[in-house]
Amino acid sequence: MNLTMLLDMAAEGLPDRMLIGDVATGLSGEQLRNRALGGSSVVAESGADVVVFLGGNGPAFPVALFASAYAGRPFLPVNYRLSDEQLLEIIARQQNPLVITDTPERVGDVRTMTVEDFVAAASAADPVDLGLTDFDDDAIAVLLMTSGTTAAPKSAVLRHRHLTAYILGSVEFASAEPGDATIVSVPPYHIAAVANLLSNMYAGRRIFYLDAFTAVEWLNHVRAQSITQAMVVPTMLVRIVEELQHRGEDAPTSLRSISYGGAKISPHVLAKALELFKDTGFVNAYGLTETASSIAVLGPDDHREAMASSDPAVRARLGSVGRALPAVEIEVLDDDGNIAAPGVVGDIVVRGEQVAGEYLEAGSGLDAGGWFRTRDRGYIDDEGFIFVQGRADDTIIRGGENIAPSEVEAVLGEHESVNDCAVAGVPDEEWGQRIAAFVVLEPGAAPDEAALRDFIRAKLRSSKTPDEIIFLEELPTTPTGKVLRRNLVQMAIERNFSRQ
Amino acid sequence: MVRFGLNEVFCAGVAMSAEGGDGSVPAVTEGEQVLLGKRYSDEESGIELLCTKTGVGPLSFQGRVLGQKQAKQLPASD
Repeated sequence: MNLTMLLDMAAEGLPDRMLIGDVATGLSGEQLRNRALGGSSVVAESGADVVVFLGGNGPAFPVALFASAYAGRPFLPVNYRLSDEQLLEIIARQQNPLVITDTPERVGDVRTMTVEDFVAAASAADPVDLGLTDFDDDAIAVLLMTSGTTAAPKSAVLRHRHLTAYILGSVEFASAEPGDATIVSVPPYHIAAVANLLSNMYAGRRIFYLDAFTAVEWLNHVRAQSITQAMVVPTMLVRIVEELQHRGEDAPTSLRSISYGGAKISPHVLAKALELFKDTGFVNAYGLTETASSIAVLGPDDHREAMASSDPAVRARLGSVGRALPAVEIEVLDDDGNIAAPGVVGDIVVRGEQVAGEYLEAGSGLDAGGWFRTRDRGYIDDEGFIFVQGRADDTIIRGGENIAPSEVEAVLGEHESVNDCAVAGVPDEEWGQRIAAFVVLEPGAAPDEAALRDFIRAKLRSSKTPDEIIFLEELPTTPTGKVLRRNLVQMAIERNFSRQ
Repeated sequence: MVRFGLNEVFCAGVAMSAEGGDGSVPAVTEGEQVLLGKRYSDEESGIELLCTKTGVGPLSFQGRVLGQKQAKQLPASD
């Protein structure tokens, strides 16, 4: 099984169903397959061994991804927002690439094509199957650079068998209703965009790409395109909620489902969103690049049940990532490497056919039993709900005590004057690390460091109370909403240096 | 995981082979269709097959006819 078979099935089973773009002028399953086959000739004739895609979201992305698959070449979508230096370094790692980019001057002395030229050549070429798909399902389908929030970016390897296992394990073929459509603003170089393309195409649900996200444009397109499903990162949901409140408008009623994930969401924002989107089911998806997308899901019923419950344990599930998908196993390992009891915090591990856990630079990260360490810390409650506390690398060690930033963030986030916050460990001569909290206030709220510290001390103990609180206009994040903790730590170091 | 031999899975009375096959076609041209994208399973062995191309069935394994599996819908997470 490989990716081209998924598109073959969609093109054969749903030839006239609009799958990509506008409801009237988009690409049907058959048209997408024809462009992709044409594109495979373009790729094959270029002689390239890997296709690098440096474009934004739009119809060129699925065409280029499937053209690469039909040509039997790995597809590497890269972040066009990287610095010139980072970009050149990544391109230099590629053996004999074809780079699809509108800024060829940025990628050095390699073979390039503009996005428009590639799509035009793919449309003009004969849509014939070149017979290049006779490769093993162990062949590399997609390469994705890790976001590099803690270290230099690595190339995560997703083989055809991982991505097809994810799709077959979680999506039913042609299960979408004929009028269904989803809106996507996640960039192509993110696993969510790759998985979204495959699963919606296989389900027969049209994908409408909004490349440059703004809440105004998003709301306009949701209404104009009668969007039924949406995938957002938390930052986008924040903006959408703010825009609706600003307008005093009701949420679009066509939306049956909104899935969110990719970063931690503030409980305030989620509660407001659930209130505003009364008729919409919310889905929290937890997954990693290395696991070919989602491994756990908190579904619409889980959200409703948690919201309505007076039981604190059930209510707390709004902050969980749900339960493991049927096709994977998830466990928490304690500090001795044994499976932890319910509620006990440890390292989250996962195994299953979709779990790749491999990097070009570092090889396979799976252990002998096939388990992959997510490097996330968390616990599983007695009903299987998984609570992710944050990256193992982010754990603060203050005077020998391990402190999960998420624990402090959860309490701080409950304070009425706090809109958003992040907590990080800052190097400290006395404690090894001290706790710094970075707070974005609600509009109109006054910065009162002492009040916030008292609030936390009353709920946690003093060793978990932030040693300093820094007020910011907004938190620095990656384009997909992950907080850049190392930038925050740097900010705290510089602030103290300038004070001395 | 279930491992099985090449002469155990049949479609419309003809043994199925690894991808590609030798191009032999079933003698039967009429009958119930095996439907694109549907899963067919045999409870006794746990084997599950996904139809990637529509055609005349039925599918069978070790002499037992495979039934179409009910789809279990998961919430769309992406």
